[in-house]
Amino acid sequence: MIQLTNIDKYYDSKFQRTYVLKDIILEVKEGEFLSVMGPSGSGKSTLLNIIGLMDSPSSGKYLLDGNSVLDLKEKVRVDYHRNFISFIFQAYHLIEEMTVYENIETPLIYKGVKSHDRESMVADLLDRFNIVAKKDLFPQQLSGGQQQLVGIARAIISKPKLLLADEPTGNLHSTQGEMIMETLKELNNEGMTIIHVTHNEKFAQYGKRIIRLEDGNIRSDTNRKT
Amino acid sequence: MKNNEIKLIFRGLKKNKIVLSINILGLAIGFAFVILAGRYVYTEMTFDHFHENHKTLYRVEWTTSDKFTSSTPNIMHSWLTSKIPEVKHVTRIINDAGGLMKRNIMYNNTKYNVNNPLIVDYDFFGMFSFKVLLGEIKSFENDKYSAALTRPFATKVFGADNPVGKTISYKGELFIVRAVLDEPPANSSVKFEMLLPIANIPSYATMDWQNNTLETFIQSHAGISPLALQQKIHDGIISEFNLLGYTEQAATRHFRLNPLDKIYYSDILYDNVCIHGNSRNTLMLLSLAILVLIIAMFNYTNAVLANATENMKGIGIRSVVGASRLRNIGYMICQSVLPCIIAMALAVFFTLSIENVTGQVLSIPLVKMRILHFMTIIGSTLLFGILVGIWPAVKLTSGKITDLLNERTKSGENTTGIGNVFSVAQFAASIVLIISVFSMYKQIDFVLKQSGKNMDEEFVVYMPLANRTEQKGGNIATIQEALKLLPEVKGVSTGLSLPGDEFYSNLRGLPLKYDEEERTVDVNHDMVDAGYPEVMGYKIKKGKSFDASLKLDYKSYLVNEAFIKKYGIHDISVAQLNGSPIIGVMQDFHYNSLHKEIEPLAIRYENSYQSRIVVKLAPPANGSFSEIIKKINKVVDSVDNTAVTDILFLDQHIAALYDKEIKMSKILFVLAFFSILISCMGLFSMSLFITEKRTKEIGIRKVNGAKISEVLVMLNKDFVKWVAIAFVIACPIAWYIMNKWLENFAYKTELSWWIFALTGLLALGIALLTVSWQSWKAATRNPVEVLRNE
Repeated sequence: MIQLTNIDKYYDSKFQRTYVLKDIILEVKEGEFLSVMGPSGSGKSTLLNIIGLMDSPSSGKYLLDGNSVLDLKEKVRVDYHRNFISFIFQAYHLIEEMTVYENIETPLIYKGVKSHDRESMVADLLDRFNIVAKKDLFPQQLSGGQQQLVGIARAIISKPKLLLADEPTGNLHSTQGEMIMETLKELNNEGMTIIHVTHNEKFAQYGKRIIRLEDGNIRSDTNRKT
Repeated sequence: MKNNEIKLIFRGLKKNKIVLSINILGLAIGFAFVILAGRYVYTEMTFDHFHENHKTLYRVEWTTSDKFTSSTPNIMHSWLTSKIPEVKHVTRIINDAGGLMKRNIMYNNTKYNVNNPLIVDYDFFGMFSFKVLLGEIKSFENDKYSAALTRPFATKVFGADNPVGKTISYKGELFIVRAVLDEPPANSSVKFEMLLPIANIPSYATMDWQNNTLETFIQSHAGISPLALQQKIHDGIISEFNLLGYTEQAATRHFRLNPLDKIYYSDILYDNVCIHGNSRNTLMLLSLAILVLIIAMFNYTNAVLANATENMKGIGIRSVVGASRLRNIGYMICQSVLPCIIAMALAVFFTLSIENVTGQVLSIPLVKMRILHFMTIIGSTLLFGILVGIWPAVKLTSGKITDLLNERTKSGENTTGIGNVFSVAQFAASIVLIISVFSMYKQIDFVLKQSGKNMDEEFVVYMPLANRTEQKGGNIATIQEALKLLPEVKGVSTGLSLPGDEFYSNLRGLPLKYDEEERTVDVNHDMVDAGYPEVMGYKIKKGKSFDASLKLDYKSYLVNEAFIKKYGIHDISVAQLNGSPIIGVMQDFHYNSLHKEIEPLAIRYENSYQSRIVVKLAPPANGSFSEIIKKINKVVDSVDNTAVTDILFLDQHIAALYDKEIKMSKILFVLAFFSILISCMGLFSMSLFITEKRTKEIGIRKVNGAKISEVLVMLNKDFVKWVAIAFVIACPIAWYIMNKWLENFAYKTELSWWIFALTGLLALGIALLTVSWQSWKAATRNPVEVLRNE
């Protein structure tokens, strides 16, 4: 599904070129659950952003679902975000002025789903995550774990093929973190491809495959036996 | 834009309630000024457009190389009717209360002053679109004793009764009210309270082509070229002149047709039928109002920018979950348009509710609002909101999504930079306005004090004579004698002109004989009764004043110092003006406005041309003249209750010369007040925004030992700097503008440094007060609480 070849990401300053990612070669197949680990500044988030089309590499090749997705037109990129890729973030990134319900509903509105269909889809998800009672609350009124659940619900409501999670458990204590990871695992079991960036060794073990980044290079790439 | 997005915007707006309401209020004030100015300009630009026939209506005027006049002879009417078939209608218009003349009518033994009673031809009604509300004007065709009144005037006289059919007395004759007309609209250059048929034309309007005493308006048939018609009329009149032997007039006069809707801005000095406007004033008011809007717009732009920076993350999230850039731009523009709409709604409400203030206090005429005006208002509001919102929208959405999510962008830092520039500009504009207002007040105060110099204007009242006819001469003498009996009255006299009159008769080429040498001079000329100089308190420097008991003094002259100086007269006993001796010299006084130098003035003792009775009063014991005014009224009415129109104060008459300046200073005061208010609103929301951004910094500084006072200084330093810069920019501008304005006066005060200093301190004080509230709150916060938030 994802094919990265010789991906570089660097910043030029006056005297030197600073590499954030260097010569990354990575293939991710459909249905994988990949954990990306590494210390701060090792390039994990940049890698995720490039995969998620939020940032572009300085050089290299990137095939997504068989198509080259470098230098995409705005319209095509938006299409990928609407239908193919979704994100969850460490800081949840919910829209503060929206209720839980509206936050989850938003991607469907952009996608142009009809109001009636939207209602049932959101209701299904609220049900599934057990947050029906919270649907009219605003994000600030929820605990971190609940907010992240809403974040996940919003991410998967448009039925994306690829879910990118940037330290989704970073702001949570461990029980809530585990709950989130269980949810991700479940989604993966249903067939969703997930790439997940984390610091946490324990949570990384939820992935079926773990890569470790260091100074912009992939140091190790292991498949966990299940 | 979908419903739920608008709902979202409202929720977002609610979050910043304080800043938002400040900005909406500021914007509403700016809008209100522009609506008022817009309506004013519209009123001015559409003068006389309400006449259905305005495109085919013209006034016949004529010019010579140095003169330009709208007065035409009585005979023009019959000549046009019989000789020019292209002319559909012709009407003569005479203002029966033109010049110094005042008129009143009597109804039920009560006297009512009537402004601009016009005598018109029957055609008048077919040409102009003055609406008849009650009755009929048919009788104007042949019944000399018909009258038509405007509704406000009719209400004043008859109250709720139907005026049609009632009898009123005017100039000693009885007229029957036949119709009630709508009040001429604000944008009508022809104003009147009463119309009378042409049969009442005064006898001085003879059928001589040289007798230019009235105005002539024509309506041409549709499709007639005005230029050709003008040429035909000109040629016709000139050949008429040649036939009559008026060769000089035939050679120099040029007749022309002035379209009705151009009359308002015509450059005619003296016109007692139509009012005239000044396009420079119109433009100035409009630009001042736009200035206030710009000041308000700066605030709003600042707020939109700050809001956009705060919402960067939100835009980022929206992009991640699939919003296109266009959609985000639309959303952000909506965020800026919505408050504009609220502000505009407030502004419309505001302007409608202060209509009376603008009309009466500031005497700015405004036409009624129409649907079209509302549409324009809505359109320009949308445009305004879009213009303000589009730049931050395009700029922010051009960034990378990851930058937006991490709230990391250069445009965020730019906003405060632009904000500084805006604040400086706002304060500079406000400072210029305040300095201007102070300087104007100072000059007006000076002018009012000066204009009473060398006379007793505070104790003089005057009564314009009404409906004066030859026979009434006796009454005026009787009234004077009766008034002299009142103990509070120190003197009574009559005169033609008064200090404060806009026009004295300026006589040219008067013969002046001095030391057997004769030449002609130009003087401003007045004719008065013997006691007049004494009543007015004129000071005699040389010679003596008129003595009623000396026959020799009759028709002799008093002249002012300017006269003596200009014409080099050292010994008045050997001087003769206009064949009469000069018996005394008066100390110079401002009989005209301080805009002009004091010109030579000659006052002639001749009491057959009075226009007003002047009365000098003793200073009242309790400080109020109202008792004595009542007494005078009673005395006058007991002799002849139609003789005078009013009792007026001379000092107020003189002050009226500066109406324009006083009005302008009032308008500027209002503008200055609101511009500084809006600037402070802007400063306040700026300080809110900045202290919020620096909360953490303040906390860290305090943890490291900064005192509250040090934090306050740190926070306020920037604001003080901006005001200082604004002051430096504003001073030369204000100095230049005020110097220009003062050039209008021949006598003026200096621009004082203390006005500038005071304004600077005022601006600084206001600015510091505004920001200190926020700074104090931020500086006294517990740092632990602040840092825990992170």
